[in-house]
Amino acid sequence: MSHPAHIPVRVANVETVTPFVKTFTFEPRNGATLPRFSAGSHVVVTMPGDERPYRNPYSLMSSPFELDYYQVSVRREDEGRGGSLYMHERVSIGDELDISAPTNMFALHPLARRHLLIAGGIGITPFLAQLHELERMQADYQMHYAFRNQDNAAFHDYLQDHYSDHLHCYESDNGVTLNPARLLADQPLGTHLYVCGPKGLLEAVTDTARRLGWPESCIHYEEFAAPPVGKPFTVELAKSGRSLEVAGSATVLETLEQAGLEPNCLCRGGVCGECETVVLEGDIDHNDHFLSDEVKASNERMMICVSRARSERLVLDL
Amino acid sequence: MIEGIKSRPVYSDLRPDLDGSHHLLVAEGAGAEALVRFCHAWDAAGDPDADYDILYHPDEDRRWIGTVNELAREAVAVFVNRVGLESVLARRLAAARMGLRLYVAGSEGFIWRVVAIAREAGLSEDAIQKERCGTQARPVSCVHCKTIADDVTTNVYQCPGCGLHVFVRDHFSRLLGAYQSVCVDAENPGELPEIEEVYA
Repeated sequence: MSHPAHIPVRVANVETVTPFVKTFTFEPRNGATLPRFSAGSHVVVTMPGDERPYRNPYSLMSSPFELDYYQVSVRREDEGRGGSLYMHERVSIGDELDISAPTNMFALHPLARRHLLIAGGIGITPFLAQLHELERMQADYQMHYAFRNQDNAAFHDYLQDHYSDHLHCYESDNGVTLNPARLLADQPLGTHLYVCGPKGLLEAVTDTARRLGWPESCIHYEEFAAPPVGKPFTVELAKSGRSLEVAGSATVLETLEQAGLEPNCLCRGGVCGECETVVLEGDIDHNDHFLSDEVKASNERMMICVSRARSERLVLDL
Repeated sequence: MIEGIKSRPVYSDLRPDLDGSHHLLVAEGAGAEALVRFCHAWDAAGDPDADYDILYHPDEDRRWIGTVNELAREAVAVFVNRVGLESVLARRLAAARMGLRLYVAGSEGFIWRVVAIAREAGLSEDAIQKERCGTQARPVSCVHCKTIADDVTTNVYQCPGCGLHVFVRDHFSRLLGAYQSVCVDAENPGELPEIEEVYA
């Protein structure tokens, strides 16, 4: 690997964007430039929590042509497991954090004739980086941005200032909603669709695209799953013979890491597929966006970054 | 043929893909066989709300014209030459919307000409079905001078561009829509292997 797995950064700026969203600017601690990335990439930010570190994936929203700093935006989730609250309440200018090298699972398709971007709420962040790239490419694109109200419309004014020719906004509290069928039924050949946002929007848009006959290769989406809090259970590792207790607020992946193990993983959000693990025994509550419905139903594999056991005992082929 | 060459295209029988919202069939010569089978399958299982269009070029194999016309679709257009078919195809694709499925049947040379036109129009390959019909003749690109020879039926041929005797490999370029051929007598000029009709 040309870059270290962890990049030491310093928080150069923290900006409150909406009542729920803060933007964090990271600068490299060692004075070097940051690794290049392609628009749509995310990094995993490691936060030193009190009991265990938090590791959350966040899309890079700064320009891919600017390597002196990275920016991410974090929506505060009061019901979450604590990572976003940690970013909001405990991270301030001058703090030192570690981030992973950027990984892209949501890249612009280089052969697309038109790019149709659809964001819901905080799902706007990967598109902020992509808009830089699309402008540079002089591409044919449209940015469709759906949000509840101005309090949930992060970067609305910035988008209006820079991309007004391409921007279409939908404010649902004003009764303006995005109609996926109307938008998707009449697009020229070679259009690629990109969706990022809450599950409801994501499913409505991708289901409509499939129903209208859009080929799978032209449908792109990203939604990092937040691992839900659940019941504690025991995980047994068949190869090493170890047995570990997974707390209600911890994931299998975190539990293994706390025990000093280093299972394969990358995005920590159920998207990339890196942590796919063979299940020997146990009933799985799947929370990822990677495995097919058939595989999920078979109970034979799981993504240990976000999925849990329904049963009290889980046996993995590790 | 050599096993395990991943670039070699895979063809399969045309089947109505009911996920599509518009359907365009393009065939040449013996590709008419595939059209007939497709239409029967459509009548059995097709979407009554959707319809399809057919562009057909009989080429030298004129015995299928009657059959194609008997498909009795207003949507059948028969062309006297390939150029005519290609220009109408390009116009149709330029006006097409996302949701289109393209079905191609004929020789490999024809299939990949159509795929190139479709790619030019922005259609992704997972929206295209391809069925090879009739001849096994290959379109082949000479790696030395890049001349593409259509309808090569022998293991070795003399390149019409550079005159070298070249051997037809199984490696296929999707970009060129042709197999690759390389000089067969570079070590001992003039010493040729037995030339056989292997892609008749």
